[in-house]
Amino acid sequence: MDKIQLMICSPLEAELVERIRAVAPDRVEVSYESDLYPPLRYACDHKGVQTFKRTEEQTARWQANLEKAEILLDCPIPKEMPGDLVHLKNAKWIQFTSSGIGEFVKRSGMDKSDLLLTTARGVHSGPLAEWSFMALLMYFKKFRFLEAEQKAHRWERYCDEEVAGRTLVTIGAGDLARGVAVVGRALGMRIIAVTRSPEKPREHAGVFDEIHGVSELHRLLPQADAIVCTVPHTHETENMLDRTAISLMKPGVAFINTGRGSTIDEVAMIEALRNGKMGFAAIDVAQIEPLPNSSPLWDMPNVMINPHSASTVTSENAKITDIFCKNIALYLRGEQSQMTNIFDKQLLY
Amino acid sequence: MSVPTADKLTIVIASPLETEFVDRIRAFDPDRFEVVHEEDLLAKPRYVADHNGAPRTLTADEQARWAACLQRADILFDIDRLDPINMPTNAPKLRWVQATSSGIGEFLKRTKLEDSDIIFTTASGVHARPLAEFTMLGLLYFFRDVQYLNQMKRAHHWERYTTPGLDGARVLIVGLGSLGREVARDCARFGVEVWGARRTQGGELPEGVTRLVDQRQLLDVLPEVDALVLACPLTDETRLLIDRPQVEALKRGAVIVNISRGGVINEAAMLEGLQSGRIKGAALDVFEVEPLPKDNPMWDLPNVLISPHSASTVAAENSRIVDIFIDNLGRFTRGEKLRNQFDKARGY
Repeated sequence: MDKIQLMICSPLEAELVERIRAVAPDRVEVSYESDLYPPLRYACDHKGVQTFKRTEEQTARWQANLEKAEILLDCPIPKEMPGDLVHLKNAKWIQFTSSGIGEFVKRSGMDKSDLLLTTARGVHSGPLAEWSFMALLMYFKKFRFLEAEQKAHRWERYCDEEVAGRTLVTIGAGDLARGVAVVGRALGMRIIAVTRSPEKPREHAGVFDEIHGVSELHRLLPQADAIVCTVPHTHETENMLDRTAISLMKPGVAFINTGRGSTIDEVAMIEALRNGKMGFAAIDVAQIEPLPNSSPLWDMPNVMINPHSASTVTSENAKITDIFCKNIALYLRGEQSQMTNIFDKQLLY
Repeated sequence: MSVPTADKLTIVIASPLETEFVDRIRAFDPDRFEVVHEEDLLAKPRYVADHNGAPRTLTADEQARWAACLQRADILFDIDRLDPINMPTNAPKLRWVQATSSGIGEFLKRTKLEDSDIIFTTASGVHARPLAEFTMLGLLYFFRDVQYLNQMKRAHHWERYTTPGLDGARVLIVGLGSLGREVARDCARFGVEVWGARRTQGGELPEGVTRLVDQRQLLDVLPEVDALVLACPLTDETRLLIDRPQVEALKRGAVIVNISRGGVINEAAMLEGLQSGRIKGAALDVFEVEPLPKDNPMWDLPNVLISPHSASTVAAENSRIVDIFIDNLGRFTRGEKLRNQFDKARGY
C-alpha cells in the first residue's frame, strides 16, 4: 500500500517534524525539506521573511510535494488566487496553524470544496487572555500614574483600584472569549458574552455569567468596565462597534481588541480615546496592518499596541503539533468526525 | 437580653474610618458594645483607606479628650498611632486591638507590645486580592515583555515578535498564608507551574500548588524557577531569607515580585542583579527603607516597577477590615478564639 503523503507547508522546528513523523511512520510519509522554507522573522513565525524566493529547482520540488500531498500542515496563502493552491491535486485535509481562517477560506473558494479543514483553535486563547489581562491590570491598577511617580522619585501612598468586582463584556463567546472568561472569573470579574448565537450549545457556557445575542449589544455596552473583542472578520462583525456603539460605552471604559481591526470604527475609537470617552485601548489588531506609521494611535499615551503578536508565544508550535498529531491518528482510523477543531464551512469558523 | 451599662464594653475607633463603617460597628450589638468615635481627634486620611492620616498635633484640650477615650477603651479599632508603645498604660482596660494591617509582627516586637496581655488581631486576608492583582501585573509585565512593546511603540515600529508567556512558566511563592495562596490560585489559572515554600512541611497542597519546598532549602530550587514571589510575613526566620547567595542562585532572567516586606530580601544583591540584567525585572511594593530614599538607584531602573507600599490599598479595604472586626466582635462575645489572632511564637 502506498503511503499517505503529508506535507508541512510552513517552517517548523526539527523536533516537532520528528514528532509528526513518529505518529504513523509505516502509513504516512512526511515531507519537510528544510531548504524549501523561508528563514523565520521571529520564533513560531508561520510565514517567514517575505523576500524569500525559491530557485527553479526548489520550486519544482515544492510544487511536486504539494501535488502529492493528501494531508497538509498549513497551506500556502497566496496574495492573489489561486497561486500555489493550483498544485493541490490530491489534498483531502488541511490542518491550519491559525484560527481565523474564515476570510481566506471564502476568498479561495475552499468553502465550496470537499476539503476537510481544521484550525488551531485553543492554541491562542491562553496567550491572548494573558495579554488582555496584562493590559487590563495595567490600566485599572493605574500603571501610567505609577510610572510617572517612579520617574519623579515620588513615594506617596495612594488608594489603588482593582479588577475584582468589575464587569467585562466579551464580544464573541468562542474559544478566545472562553480563555478571557476563565481568568476573569478567577480574578473576581463578572463576565458577559455577546454572540450571534447565544442559544448554541457550548461546553464552556458555564464560564460566562451571562450570554446574550448581538441584538442586546447596545443594552449591555453601558454596563461594561472593560470590553474584550475576540471575533473574526465576517460581514456581521464588520463595524459592529460603530460610532453609536462607542457612544454608549461607559466613560473611561477599557477596550481590548484581539479579534480583528475591522470590528471597530477606528476613527471613532481614536476620537473617543482622545476625549476620554474611552479610557484605554490595547490593540493586537488594526484596520490596516502593519499599522501605518502615520496612525495617531502610536503616540497616544492611553493606547497599547501589539503588532498582531499577542497570540504568539514560544510554545505555540508545540501546541499546534499536539493537536495535529492527535488529528492524524483519528484521520488514519477514519474517525474524521472526532477530529479536533473542524472548520464549519457554512458558519465560516 | 439587655446588658447592664456597667458591663458594656467600650470600642474606641483609633484611626480614620468612614462614618458608614462606624455605624455598621455600632449596629452590630448595641446592647453589649459602646462605640466611641471622636472624629475630630483622629488624623485626616490623605487617600481612601489611609490609616495613618496626615501628621497632626493635638491641642492640650484635645490630648486630654483622647486620653479620656483611651482610659475607657476595652477594645481598640486600630493601634493608637500617637503613642503606640504606651498603649497598655494609657488604656489600662484594653484587652484587644484590631489592627488594620496584616504585617504587625515587626511593630509588636519593636514596641514590646507582644509581651503584653493585649490580644492583637490583624487584617490578614483583606489585602490578598489586591496584592495578588499586583503580583499578576508584575509577572505579566515582564513575561510579556511590555518594555519591548513600549520601545516599539515609541518607534512606530510594527514587527511581529514572540514572547515566552506566563503559561508554562515555573513560579516559586515563598509564604503560603492567605496572600501566597491567593497568588497561587491566580498563577495556576494562567497555566503557571506553582511551587510553594513555607516553614511547616507536610499537610495538604494549597490550591494550584504542585510542589511544596522547605523554606530553609531554597538554594536548591532557586536555579529552577522562572520567577520568585515573596509573600511571607517578616519574622526572625524570614529576615534575609533571600540573602545574597539566594539572589545569586536565581536562574538567569528570573523575575522577582515582593509583596511581603523589604527585610525579607537582600536589597543590595537584588539591585546588582537588576542592574546587570541577570534578574530580568522586579515588581516591588516594599523596601528595606520606606519611603524609598530619593537617591536610591532602584527608582531609575527600567526593569523595576515600584509601588509605594500601596498595592494592598484599595477602595474596598475598610469595608473588608470592618467585616473581620464585626466577625471578631461576635467571637469575642462568645469567648471564642479570634480570627487573625497574632501569635507571638510564630511572629505573625
